[in-house]
Amino acid sequence: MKKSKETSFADYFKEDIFSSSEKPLLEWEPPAKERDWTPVIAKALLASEPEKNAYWKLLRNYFLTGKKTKQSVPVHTQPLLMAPYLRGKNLDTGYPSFANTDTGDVIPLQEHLLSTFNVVFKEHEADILRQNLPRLDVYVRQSLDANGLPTPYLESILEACEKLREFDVRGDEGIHFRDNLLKYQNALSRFQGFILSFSHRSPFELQSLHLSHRNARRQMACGSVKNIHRLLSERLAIYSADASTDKSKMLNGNFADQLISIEKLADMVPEESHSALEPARLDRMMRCLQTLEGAKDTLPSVRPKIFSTAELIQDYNLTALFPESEVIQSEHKCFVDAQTAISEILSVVSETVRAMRTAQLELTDKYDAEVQELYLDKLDFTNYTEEEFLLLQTVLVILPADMIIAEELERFSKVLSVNLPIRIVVLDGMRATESGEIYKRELSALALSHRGAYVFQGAADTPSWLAEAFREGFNQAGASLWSLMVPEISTSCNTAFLQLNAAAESRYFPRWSYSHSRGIRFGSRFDISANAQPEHLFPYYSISVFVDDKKVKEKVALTPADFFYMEMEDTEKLEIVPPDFETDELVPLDIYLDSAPEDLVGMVPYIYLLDTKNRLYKGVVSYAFVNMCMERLDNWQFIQELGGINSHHVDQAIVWARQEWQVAKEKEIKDLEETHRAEIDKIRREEAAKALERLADVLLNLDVSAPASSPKNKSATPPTSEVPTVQEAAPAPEAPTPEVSSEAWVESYKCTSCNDCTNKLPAVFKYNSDKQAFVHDPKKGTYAQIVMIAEKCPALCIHPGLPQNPDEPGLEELIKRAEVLN
Amino acid sequence: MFGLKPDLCSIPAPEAYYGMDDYAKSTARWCPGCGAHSILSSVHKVCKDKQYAPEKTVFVSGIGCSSRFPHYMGTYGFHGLHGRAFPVACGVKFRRPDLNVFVVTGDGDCCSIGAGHWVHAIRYNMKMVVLLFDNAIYGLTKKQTSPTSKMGTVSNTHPKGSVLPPINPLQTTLGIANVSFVAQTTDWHPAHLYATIRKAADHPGLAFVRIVQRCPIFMRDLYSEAATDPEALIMLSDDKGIQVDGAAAKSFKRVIQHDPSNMAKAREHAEISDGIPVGLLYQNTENPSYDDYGAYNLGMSNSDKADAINALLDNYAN
Repeated sequence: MKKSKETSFADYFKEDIFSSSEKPLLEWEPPAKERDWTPVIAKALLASEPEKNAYWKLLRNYFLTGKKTKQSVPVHTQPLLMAPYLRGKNLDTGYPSFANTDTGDVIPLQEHLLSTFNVVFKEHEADILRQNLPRLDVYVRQSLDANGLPTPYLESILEACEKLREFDVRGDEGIHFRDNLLKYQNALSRFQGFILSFSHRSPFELQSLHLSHRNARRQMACGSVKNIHRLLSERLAIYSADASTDKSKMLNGNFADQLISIEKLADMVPEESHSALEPARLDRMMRCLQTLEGAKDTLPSVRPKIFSTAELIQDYNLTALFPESEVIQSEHKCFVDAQTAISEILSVVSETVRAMRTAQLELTDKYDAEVQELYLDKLDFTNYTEEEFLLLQTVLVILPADMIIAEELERFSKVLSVNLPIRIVVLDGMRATESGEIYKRELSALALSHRGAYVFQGAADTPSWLAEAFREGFNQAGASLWSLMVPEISTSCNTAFLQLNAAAESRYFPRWSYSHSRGIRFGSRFDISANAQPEHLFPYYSISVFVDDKKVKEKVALTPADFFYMEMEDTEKLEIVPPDFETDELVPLDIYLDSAPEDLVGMVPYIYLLDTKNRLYKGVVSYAFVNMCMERLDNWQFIQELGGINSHHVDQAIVWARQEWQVAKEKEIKDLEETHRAEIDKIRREEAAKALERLADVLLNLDVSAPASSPKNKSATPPTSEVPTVQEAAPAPEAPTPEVSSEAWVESYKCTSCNDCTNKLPAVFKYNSDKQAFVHDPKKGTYAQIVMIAEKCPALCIHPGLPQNPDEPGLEELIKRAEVLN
Repeated sequence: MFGLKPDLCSIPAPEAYYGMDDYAKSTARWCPGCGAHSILSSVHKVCKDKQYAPEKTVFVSGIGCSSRFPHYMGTYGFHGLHGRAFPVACGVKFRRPDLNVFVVTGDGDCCSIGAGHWVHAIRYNMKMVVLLFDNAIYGLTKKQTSPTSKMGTVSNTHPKGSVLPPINPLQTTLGIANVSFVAQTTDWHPAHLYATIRKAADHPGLAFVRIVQRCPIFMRDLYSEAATDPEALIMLSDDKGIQVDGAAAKSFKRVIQHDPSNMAKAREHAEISDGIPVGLLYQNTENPSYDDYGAYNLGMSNSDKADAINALLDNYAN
């Protein structure tokens, strides 16, 4: 084709009558048809046997050495299960979350909106608003802080409600919608707190919110120290030696002195009452007073102490995140410093608590030196009440896992063994090296072996669960450790979230917690319920794929390999099997990992990969990574066993118990069969004898009806083949005479909206919101009109009821006509 | 709570909420008592519940009483040529797959003059809802025999009674290749009528709904008994079928279990003559749809199209 002389198609399209620009004609979204996003398994011609064998040799070489073959398909791929989310589909994240500062709870905003809605409205009420709750959620998201900092809740919610008010709902429905919205808005504004969006700082934000909530409660606890101090000083003032000289001071009424004569009242206070007090008791009380005097002023001013490295303080800007705390840089002796700090705090608090308890007992005259002295001397923080425990200010250590492993392992272990109430946050890095050096040394598992401490492993991808872990950890009378996975600071929020989520879901970094205080039995202290499908080795997802144009469901497991190969550059290291070389020796990685070594000879494990055109490929995982996955699986099984799920010992016990049970049952069945057979034989013999007897009777008497009436045969059972006589049906209960309504009414659900009644008697009949008629006011029409309309109604759904006006002419005949319609 | 899940908020929400009035326009001029009134209000309700944007919804009709329908809708409409509702609707859907397309046709329009188009529209299986208003008579032209009139129907064209057996629209549709949705309902049972149209609107391909309709003027006697007799309707019930609840469900005195994926049984039930079977006779959501192909190059710019054609022609250049 010679383009130069002829009008090219490009020229032709330039004259397009619809559009001269290069923009598409329509702003069109792709149809949401399944076929467009369902993965397709590429069609292939199978290679010849020799070709296949040659490839398989190379593939096995790759499996062992990690060296890719030349046949590997050069496509950009991502793991199947992660692909939609890596390509922009939004993941359900639990963020933004609503942190309630009154209760300290953190719940996903969606859940908060819905639960508040369900409190305000009943089912089927305010449906339009219910359908538009996601819109409210979206508006709140739009109002969130651009830098990911916590946003004040109330402002943001009110702004979103205002925005929703402008939403175009027309007619009467619009009025109801706006009324309901106002009601809902009032309910929402009863809460106080912050809205958190996901960022790298999320775990610390949650912690900071919890700390300030805790501090508020702590101030109240300090208040009660003051209170006891006041009560004690009042009591001692009565007893004190100079009480008589200045008794009026105790009764220092501010305004009361205008009304009451203080001098006269002072005379009424007992003069020599302190003489009743033993000197030892007085001394004890004075000492308590002294301690409380000091504590009431110092305790409220003690701030939480946070020890961390310079790098972390700078990276996460910890000073700004914890404004109420003292953030202390302590490079290589965090644990030592923390231990010193907590010891100092403990000595002050234990003195105070002892003084408080003694004072309380003294005030109620219940102090018994013999019983309490030793007890109070030995009282330590594990026996504190909740309020007393709050007096212990928090000491928090934030360190990276690598650093603890490299430098502080001994100190770390010591802190956990001593079990002082030190709080430790360990930040675990995202990526393991191929040599697998770091990932096997999990500090959470190490902490668990000390048994006394509270241990949590997880990440900020489950905010409610993490907030709960902080609450539980901070209230622990002993050490607590949160081992948190954190993404690289440079990663974008969406990817970071997906990484955290995938790490937990793929069993690379499972979520679990252990708390000594949950129960006496060791097993009862574990919680692994926050993992997806905790009963399985891996979580399984059902995915539709097209194979030869037919849709089939594939069960696909999310394995650590899917997590490792999330990045496109990483999947390039995988051998992607050309569809032509498909054979049975390729096994899914999850099955490979769960099989006995003898079944795996010659097998090669793969994971599903999706290319950018939605074609599905099998990516072979090399031995080094299989090994790493195997190790992760071991770790998961360790956690499963601790969590009491899939316990090997329980499984064994069940097998044995079942075997025993089966043997016992088989014997029982055999015995029963024996007895049954014997009984049948016996009955058969008896019945045969009876039948012969009957036959003989009949033959002798020649009376056919005899057997039935014969008293001899009365007990004989009828032959089984006989059809049982049909019982006569009970007479149908008489239909109750229907009650006639006093007014006209319409069975609205039957109305066919033919406009007949509403046109002829618009004052009587109106349409409801479904455009089906109902009686608006029966008095606005005559009975004659209503009966006539009811007779003409094609759906016969109008019932005239009884006349409203007794003076209407011809009522008798009308009532008669209405009878059939009522 | 745990596991990879898509976020609900990423599901797009419409820009406005439409009430019943948004879908209504002018006063319906059908005779009082005509079944079409009931169908109209059910369609309004379905549109409201599905929150179809009126500017993204098209009602296409042919000629006949039923075909006045688009005039009473506050959406786009196309009151077309006799028997040609299907090809127009297919054309609309083929190039504008983003629109919600409804076809309103009558027993004359669909089963007589438009029968050829009927066959192919069913086979093309484009996503649309087809409402066949079957009152078994030509009402607009004052009573002539229609292809669905019973044998012996006395009309202006057959003063001594019609002589040919009628077409059974259900059986005929079930016999067409690639049929994907066939249901039947009646105008005098509004709850079932609504549920049927709603189910049809949810179907991914062409949903064919035959509505047994009363003509109070020219065929007063045909369904007058059936409309008041609770025994006249036979409900085809199944979990996958059309669900009505409350008082409306109890009003069915005769119920048959019918699995809508069973074509042979569907054909058997289509022949029931001692009552009117209502419900979902047949549904298959996996059938290919021709609109998938029409939508193929939408969104392509003109230069892209030109490049594609040039590239194709260049194959023949040497």
